[in-house]
Amino acid sequence: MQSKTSLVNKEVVKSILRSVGWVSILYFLLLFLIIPLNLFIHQSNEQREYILYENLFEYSFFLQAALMIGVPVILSMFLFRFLQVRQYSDFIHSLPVTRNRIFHQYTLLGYLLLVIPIIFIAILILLFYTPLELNELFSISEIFRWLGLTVLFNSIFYISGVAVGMVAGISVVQGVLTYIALLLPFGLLMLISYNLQFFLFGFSAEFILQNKLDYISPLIVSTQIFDLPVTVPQLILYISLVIILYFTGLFLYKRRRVEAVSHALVFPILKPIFKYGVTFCVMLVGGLYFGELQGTLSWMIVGYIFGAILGYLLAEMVLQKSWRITVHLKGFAVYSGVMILIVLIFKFDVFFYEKRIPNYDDIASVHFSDGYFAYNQSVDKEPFFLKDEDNIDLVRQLHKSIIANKGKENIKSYETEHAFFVYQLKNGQKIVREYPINRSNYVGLYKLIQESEEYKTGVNEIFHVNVKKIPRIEISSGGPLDKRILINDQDEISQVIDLIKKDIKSATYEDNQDTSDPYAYLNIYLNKNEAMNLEWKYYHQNLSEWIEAHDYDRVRVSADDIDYAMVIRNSDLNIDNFDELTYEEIVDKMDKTGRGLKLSDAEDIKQSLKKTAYYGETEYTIAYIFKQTNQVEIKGITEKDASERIKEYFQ
Amino acid sequence: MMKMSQVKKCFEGTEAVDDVSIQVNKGSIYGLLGSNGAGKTTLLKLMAGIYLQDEGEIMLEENSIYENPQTKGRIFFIQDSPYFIPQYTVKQMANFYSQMYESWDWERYEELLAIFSINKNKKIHKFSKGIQRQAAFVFALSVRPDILILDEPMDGLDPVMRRKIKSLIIDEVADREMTVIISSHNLREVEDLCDFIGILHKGKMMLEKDIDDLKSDTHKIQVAFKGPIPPVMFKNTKVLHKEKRGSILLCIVRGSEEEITASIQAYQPVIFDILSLTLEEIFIYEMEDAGYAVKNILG
Repeated sequence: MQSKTSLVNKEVVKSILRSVGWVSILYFLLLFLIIPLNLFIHQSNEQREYILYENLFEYSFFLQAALMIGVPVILSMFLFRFLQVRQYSDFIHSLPVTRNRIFHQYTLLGYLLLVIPIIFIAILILLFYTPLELNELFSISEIFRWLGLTVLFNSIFYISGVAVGMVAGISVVQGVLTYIALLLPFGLLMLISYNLQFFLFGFSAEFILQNKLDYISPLIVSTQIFDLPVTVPQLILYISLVIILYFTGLFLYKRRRVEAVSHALVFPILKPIFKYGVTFCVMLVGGLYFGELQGTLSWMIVGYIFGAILGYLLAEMVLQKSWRITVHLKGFAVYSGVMILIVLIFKFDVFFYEKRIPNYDDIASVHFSDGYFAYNQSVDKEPFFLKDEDNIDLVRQLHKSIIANKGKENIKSYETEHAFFVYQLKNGQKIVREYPINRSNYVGLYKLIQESEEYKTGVNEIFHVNVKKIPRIEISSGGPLDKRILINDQDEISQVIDLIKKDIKSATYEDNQDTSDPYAYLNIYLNKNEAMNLEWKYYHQNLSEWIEAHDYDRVRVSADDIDYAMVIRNSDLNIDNFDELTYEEIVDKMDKTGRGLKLSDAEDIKQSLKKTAYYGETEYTIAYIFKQTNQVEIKGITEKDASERIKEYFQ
Repeated sequence: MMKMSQVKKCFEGTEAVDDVSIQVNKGSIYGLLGSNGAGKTTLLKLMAGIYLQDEGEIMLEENSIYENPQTKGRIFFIQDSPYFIPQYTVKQMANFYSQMYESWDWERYEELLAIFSINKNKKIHKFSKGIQRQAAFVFALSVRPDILILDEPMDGLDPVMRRKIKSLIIDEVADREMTVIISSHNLREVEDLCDFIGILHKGKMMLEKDIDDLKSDTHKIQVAFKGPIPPVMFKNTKVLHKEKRGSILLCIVRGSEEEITASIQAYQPVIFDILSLTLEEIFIYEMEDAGYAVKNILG
């Protein structure tokens, strides 16, 4: 007997339209309000605001992203509602239709309903492209990019919702699990990395996480598409993901038992996976939370225990669909045993992760810095590596002593410094380690490494610029006066660059660590718009001499700019947190103590200006009152850098 | 002919249907009895191809049912509380069924609508429970299925409507040899309808009987003798139940009426009556024989 139902059953189509058609219409209306209407208002305005939106995603991207993430999953929930209601499910599955057919019809028609509003919006924008003169804003290809990406991400979220729907027996569980599944790859990687950092001394979570791995969670990528490009491999990955998930959904649906409706999870095999998965994740979150909060291993363990129990109970509550659950202690005991074993493996460094320092002979080069950010500053800049034998040896020595000091260092959590190593081995392998350290314990080695010429030329960008291409250098005072001087002469420019290089080469480790205020700021333009910023500081002796000789030092704040200055000892001021006060309030307080020293003499002021620093941490605070404008600038002076006049007065 | 052989179905470790074999002949009305939780609904959903059995075979003629649209197209299943697509009117639902079932009959549909006087333009979920059930019957009979499976169909219907539906079913069976499988927890409700009865208890089939055979084969007799009761009186008949009330002996025996009469008259009883039994009584005695208290099973 041949079934008379054709491939597309008209009545099934109608029933789908009747149940979820509204999602499609609503999506269209909302998108219409967000993009075409905005374009229309913007372009018909008499005085066009020239806010340059470079792409269509920039129109209320937050709303666009919310819809892109929300609509497809909601659609999949309503579309497959018949799977999650017992009577509905029995009804549909009593009909003479195969599951293959049901799945294809529902999934594909639902997909059309999702995509059609997006296509309509794109067509609308295309139609109005010429009449509204939208070419002022973006090119036509931008419309297709918007269409393609919006459809792509909608497809991923939709098909994920469908596939998850096949294993879930409750609509809410379907929705929640879909988002968890979309976030899980990167989320889990993040949780595990941050937790490993606590257990594996030297493990660099940043290195793992900053490695542009977020593409493995399309949900994260979708929130960035307005300014981050989606690469071709990513596109291929996502499109294959959509296809794979479609057939996974079909496969699961064909094996789905109708009677399991209203269970949180339909396939019994998923229950333990879900249960221990949730337990594991909440445990990691708990450990991380307590670990970050208290910073000790014992608190972290408390966090793990608490998190594991919480996660286990939560998972059981979801599976048993009640908060009054029966707890199966045996399973939890086995889980705890396994976790303790894993912790012990890391604790006793069974795989020699912590003790491993590559052999001197195996190392081709090494990167050494304060953290991952220095390793990967920008996309187009290669990280610097040290190749010099002495340097490699020094870095190894430093690495060794950091490992030897494990647990003995006195690290203040609020000013933790990091040492970051990347070894490039001769066999092509890469070994990455990151350690929280107290740098003062290693000054000797730091000094040797960072004062080496190889290190200095590697780290300082100025050694890598093409001097001939520099159009100009700008020197500016900063602060309230904002005096500026431009150097345009090519000879002068190359002189300045050479002198800076010379000064950097002769600078000591201590010079580089010094936090005193610069005399002025140098903006070295690499081309028309892009500039490299450099500070003109006390140790740039060659540069200082040259600037003075050319009479450019007038850019510095000098005694002539200042009416008078007021110095006070910090211990007299009684200010706990300087950052909470405005300059005026600080000056008020200084006045009130009555113990301040007023400097009006030009020579005194000049002396005080020699070496200032950021106020608050220094022994003295000094307020400069500028002439004419009466503006105030507050600086700090250390005991070491204080002038004789100041020292005498406060003795 | 619908045939189930050694079918098993477990729900999370508990056996809802355990090793059940049934054969329902074409054109017969099979009553599936059992208390709540006996596994009736599960068994029916297995027959309707909604559930997949864990073990055993379910066939309609030579074809399997699960995931087989050709056979499922010949079966119609009405759930214990009928379900319709949300917000659908009678008309829309009829359109839906007409596309789903090849055998849908529009004439029959109009006819049935008139019989039940149902407004086809009204949304079904706005009807009362009873009317919804009638609507379900309208759809079921309009599909003209070979097999009609009904889960507790008489619930929520008034006696007049019950009679109406029963007669419609009987007509359909007589007309075109439709097979009906009907579940109930109440024997009295279906005894005048069914020609075959199966009793399900805790997932197992306890008893399967042809009602006509049962009725003509089981008798209640009252006998009294002048002297003692002859000990060999029942040697050729099966006695299901024996009870003495004073000098009168009351027995439930199986066998044809003629045989029993002949064998008892031979002992010249003072009193001898053959009485008819209700179906319920027969079951009570039958099950007693098997060691079950039927009252508990049939509620």
